[in-house]
Amino acid sequence: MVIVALLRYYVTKIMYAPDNQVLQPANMSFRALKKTIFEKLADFTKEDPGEINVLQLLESVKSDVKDNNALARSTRIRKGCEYLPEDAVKVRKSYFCKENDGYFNKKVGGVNPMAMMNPDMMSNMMKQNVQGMFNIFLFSVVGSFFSGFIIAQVPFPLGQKFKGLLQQGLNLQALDPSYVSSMSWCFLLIFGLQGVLNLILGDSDGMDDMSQMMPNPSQMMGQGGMDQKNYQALFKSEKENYEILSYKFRLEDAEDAFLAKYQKKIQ
Amino acid sequence: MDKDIKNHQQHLKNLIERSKKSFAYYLIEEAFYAALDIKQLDWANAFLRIITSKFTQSVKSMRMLGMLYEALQDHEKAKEIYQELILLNPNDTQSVKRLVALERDRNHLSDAITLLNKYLENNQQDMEAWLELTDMYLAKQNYAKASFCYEEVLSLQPNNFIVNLRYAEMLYSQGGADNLDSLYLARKYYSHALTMQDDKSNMLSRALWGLLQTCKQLDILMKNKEEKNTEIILTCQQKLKEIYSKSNNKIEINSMKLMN
Repeated sequence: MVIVALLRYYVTKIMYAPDNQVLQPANMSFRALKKTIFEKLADFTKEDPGEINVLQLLESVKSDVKDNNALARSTRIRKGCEYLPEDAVKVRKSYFCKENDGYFNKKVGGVNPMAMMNPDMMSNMMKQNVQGMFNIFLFSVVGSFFSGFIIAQVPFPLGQKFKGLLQQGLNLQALDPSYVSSMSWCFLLIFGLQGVLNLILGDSDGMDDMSQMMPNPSQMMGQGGMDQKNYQALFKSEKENYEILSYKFRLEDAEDAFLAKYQKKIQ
Repeated sequence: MDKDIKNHQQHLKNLIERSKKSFAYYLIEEAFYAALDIKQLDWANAFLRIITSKFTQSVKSMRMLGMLYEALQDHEKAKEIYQELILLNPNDTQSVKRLVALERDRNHLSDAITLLNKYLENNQQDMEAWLELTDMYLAKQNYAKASFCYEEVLSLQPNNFIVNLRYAEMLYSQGGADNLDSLYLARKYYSHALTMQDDKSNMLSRALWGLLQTCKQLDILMKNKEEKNTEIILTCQQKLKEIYSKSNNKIEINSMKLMN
């Protein structure tokens, strides 16, 4: 069982290996690499891009990266606002919430229906399916080879309710529930050995059996739109947060605190 | 020198073969940056070649090539490389940052500021970038904008002594006869910074001098005297005298203008 789990772990790990962006090949045009040590590596088929306007390029950054950062910043400002001067908070509030042209009032594109077609998303879904297949495969093998076997007996009496848990694959009404069938044993081991495996492998990245076997419903429904957050709603709630923000400057009495701390020591 | 590099390269290759993991490449990368720092460009070249032999034409090795050209003072070439990397992937934050540093190095401060502003529009959470922008505005003596950027850092670390101190200094620099508010705020932030420190700490004197200076300025500019202000001045002076009397190098601070 441990070996099977280890195998599973490595398969998962290989499948989910993050593709490191900085190690992706970069197709550089010949012009940029001319007279460098990489001259031969240049992509000769690529056209000379000519004058590159970086400012314009930065405009084209994906908006969800942008929106995520803006949201995070707004939360940070709201959290730390007590330590900022009032004007500073007001300026930022108006940047985010101003009528018409505030950041949170701009139009956000809806969820892209083509997201499912995105090859990234496709391969992700495929990987998830393979994961599920592995479990099913494991159970069917165990089921067909060991069906009908009783493998263990728990050393204490159990109620009838435990029959479903401990005697899967056995249809014997009269059997005492303290006997454990092979199928159930397999089940129990998959969950029970997780802690041991964590100790062996040192990390628990690929081992989230629980979440694999019992995918929560929201994940099942929105796998396509999973990382597509609804920014419109998030923006709206963030704006409301600003409305109810009660600003109180923490440093109002800072001088008194300073005097209290340093003055009495001298006298 | 050439022979040295060959030997070293051989040595490194042996090292790589011995350590099966990619950990050694990480070391070579570090060595590459170190070589750039001390301007040993032959070495840097050798290191870069080792890395490219494994990761041919990766984004990172291209960026490292750009850094090599930066070190060679060939700014145009480096700029071309970075620009093309950004063209390939506008989300490449590291390359944008390198480009900003490059522009700053060439003394094109305004270009660097425009670029970094654009970058910050997309990455509003990047503290490093906010700090850099603060630094550049300070270099241009644009204290209002510098303090705006520094507020971002302050909101993240409101209980950091140094951050509070620097923010107070920026506020003080903005203050004047027509901007008394900012002097008041500076006084608050200086006091706040000082309250956070233990009073035996050896970092106090900079903040104390700043606070003293601010209060003196307020004293001159205010129409009706405030009692609290004079109290702060006295406390600062006493504390400073105490600190300086303990120090080994005897500096006569009693005769200084601020002390009277």
